[in-house]
Amino acid sequence: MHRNRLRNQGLVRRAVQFSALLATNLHLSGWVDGTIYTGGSKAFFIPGLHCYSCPSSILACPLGSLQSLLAAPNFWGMLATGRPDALVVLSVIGFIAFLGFLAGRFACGWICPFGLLQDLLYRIPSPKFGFQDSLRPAKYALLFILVLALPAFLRPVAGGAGDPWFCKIVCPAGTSLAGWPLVSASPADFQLGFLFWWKSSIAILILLWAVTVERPFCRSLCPLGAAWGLMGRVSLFRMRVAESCISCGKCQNVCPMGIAIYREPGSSECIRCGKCAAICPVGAISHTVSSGEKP
Amino acid sequence: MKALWIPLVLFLLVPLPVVLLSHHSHDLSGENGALLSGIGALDSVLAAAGGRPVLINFWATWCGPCVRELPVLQEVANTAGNNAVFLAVDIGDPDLSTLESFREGNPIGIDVVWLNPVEAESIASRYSLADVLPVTLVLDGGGFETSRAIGARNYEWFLSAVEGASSGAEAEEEDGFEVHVYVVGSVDDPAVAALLEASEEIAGPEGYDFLDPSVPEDSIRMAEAYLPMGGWPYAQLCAGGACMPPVGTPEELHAAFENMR
Repeated sequence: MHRNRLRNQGLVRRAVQFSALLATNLHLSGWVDGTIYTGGSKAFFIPGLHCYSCPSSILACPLGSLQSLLAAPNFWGMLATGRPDALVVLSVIGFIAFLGFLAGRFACGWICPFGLLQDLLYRIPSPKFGFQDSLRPAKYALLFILVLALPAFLRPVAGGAGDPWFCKIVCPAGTSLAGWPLVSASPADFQLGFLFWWKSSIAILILLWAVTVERPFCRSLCPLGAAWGLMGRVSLFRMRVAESCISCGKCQNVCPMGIAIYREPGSSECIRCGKCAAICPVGAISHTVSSGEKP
Repeated sequence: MKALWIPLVLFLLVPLPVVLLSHHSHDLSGENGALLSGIGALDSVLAAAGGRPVLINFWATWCGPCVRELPVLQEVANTAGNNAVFLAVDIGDPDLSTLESFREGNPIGIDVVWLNPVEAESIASRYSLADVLPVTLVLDGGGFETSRAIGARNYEWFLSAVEGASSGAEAEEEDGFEVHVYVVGSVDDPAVAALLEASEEIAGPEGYDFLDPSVPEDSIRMAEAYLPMGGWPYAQLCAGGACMPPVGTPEELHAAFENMR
């Protein structure tokens, strides 16, 4: 019975993930003609890691937007003088913080297109391996170094613009869902250099990793997940484990993030996918909305 | 090993020094060259070339292709060393202070000559310059023009033009005239609607971009294209790596298009 419940819950989640994917990728012609949608909806953010330059995307990536704004020429001066184009950074931070305090990493489990891609890759038959937990802190380092500090403060040319470093040297979502399709559509328009081949190698490694390990990018490298995870510890929507828990460990076995939710229901890694609640043989795990009470 | 994340992060940071070093190799040497002013100063530099080829790059701070081209010119100047003279002549900024502020944030290693609007017009007439920027002239040791480029060029073109001026050969000119218009302003501004209509007439439905400075992504694109961050609404006409000065009305835009052709 629990297996059926798990399967049904999985179908619902997959339907939500695909619906979100379709709803945020309406510019399908972009894949054919190799163009990017630049309409008004690009002023809004997708709750997930999805490149602004993905040909079909009609929304902007919050992480990419944050870095680009921080990297603008004279960002701090513009912010100090209240220029609207610098103050927009507050809307990106507000968007990320709002979702994080609302539901932690919920969007990772239910909406993020790159999360969905990893879920699908893991379904490919292959040897499956466990995840090395000591890799988890890497995403916090990448959040601090490549998303915040370097774009905000590093200026290769004094007074000039900085760079969105995470997008520039790591992001596999940007490479696989924007870089590759755009380059394929019109190779002559791009001067492919070291960074393209570096990022392509990183993306290939991560995609192959996702075939053998469940959601390795979310667990170890995603800075957006890191930010939401930190807020997830005190979010309103979270997992709750009742005292009837028998510590059987089944929840950990099905958790795509490999969390022992029965020991740590407020884990910053939890993506609120609900597989643990579906598999729990005694119904001890559930979603809950709580304001500040310890789960 | 308990902290595998550390080597993982260090590995992912590998491109950082590579990218930064490449920035420096494209950097305008980090220090400004001389800033001269007036036709007299320009003629003095030309006279002092002493039989060497001279590359004169006409540009302005509001011209994205020009600004992107400057580091390339610097690289060519580094390669050519003392065998040629390189000059960046600003003929598009009416106020010297605009150029000075630009140089504070974007050092230009080669010497820059600033001309006021009257002098700029005189020089444009002397060299029969089109109304677009950038324009690059290469003069041989005798002061005769051997190559001319309207629009931005790459390292190889500049180097070949300078070497050609020494040997008497001309750099190969590129063909192509594809117009693109940037329209900048607020979406509900009637003047913007008129500029957009004129842009479509000139460049076709795919040939123009509308950018609203209050939209963050547009603001970023404006910075990347070195479009002026004030004075909107305006439209800037570009073609073949060269741009016209921004204009504010459809009539001026049509006139700019005719001039460019």
